[in-house]
Amino acid sequence: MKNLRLKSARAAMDMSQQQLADAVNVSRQTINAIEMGDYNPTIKLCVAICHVLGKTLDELFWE
Amino acid sequence: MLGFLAGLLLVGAIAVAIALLVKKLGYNKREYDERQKMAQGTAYKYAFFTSLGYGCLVGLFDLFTGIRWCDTMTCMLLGVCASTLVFALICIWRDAYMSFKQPKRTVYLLMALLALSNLGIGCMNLGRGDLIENGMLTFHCVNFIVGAMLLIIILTMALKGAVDRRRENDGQVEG
Repeated sequence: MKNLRLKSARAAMDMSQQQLADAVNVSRQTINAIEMGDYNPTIKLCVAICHVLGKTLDELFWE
Repeated sequence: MLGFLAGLLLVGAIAVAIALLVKKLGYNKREYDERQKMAQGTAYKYAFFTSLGYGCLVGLFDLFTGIRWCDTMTCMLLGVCASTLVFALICIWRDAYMSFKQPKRTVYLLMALLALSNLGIGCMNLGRGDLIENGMLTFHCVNFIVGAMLLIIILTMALKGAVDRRRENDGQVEG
């Protein structure tokens, strides 16, 4: 299932996938895979993404 | 035998020199993220089963037919190449072959150089007729096989790059 909340939160911060990937120290393809729902990130990466985007885990990853 | 050992030493010395150069230039800062490591784990699994399957196949072929089609060293290296190729292709297709911090151009260049030099040596061996002796593939064909393997890896990387670019153009992925 696509993670549209992550995509919209990133877009709201005016960040590209590459910028978010650099901020959390992963590849751009990993961010894309998370947004497309092709990859389930670990809690460590989820937390890192939440910190960068200023959101909570619930807001971005809880269904 | 002495020539083979000298060649092995030379290759070893060149490999050490390249490794030192790469380290000095700072191109060895390979870092893979969690998704890439997971994809590599899957690739290792398939490479392991390829190696297992190859070993069984070769053993059974020898047991039932008794035909020796290559020498022991070549047989072993063919298995290594087959499993390495499986690992590399899966990793490339899942964006886990190269570190996201590694300069891609350098990797392409190094691999192209290795492929060309191996294919060149392979062609020389082919020209000399060293590849097959007494109806068996000899160790001299290894360069050719390694060169072909590297060429397949480079072509797959190029194909994957083209597929990614097309997806970016279609708007499925952000560049």
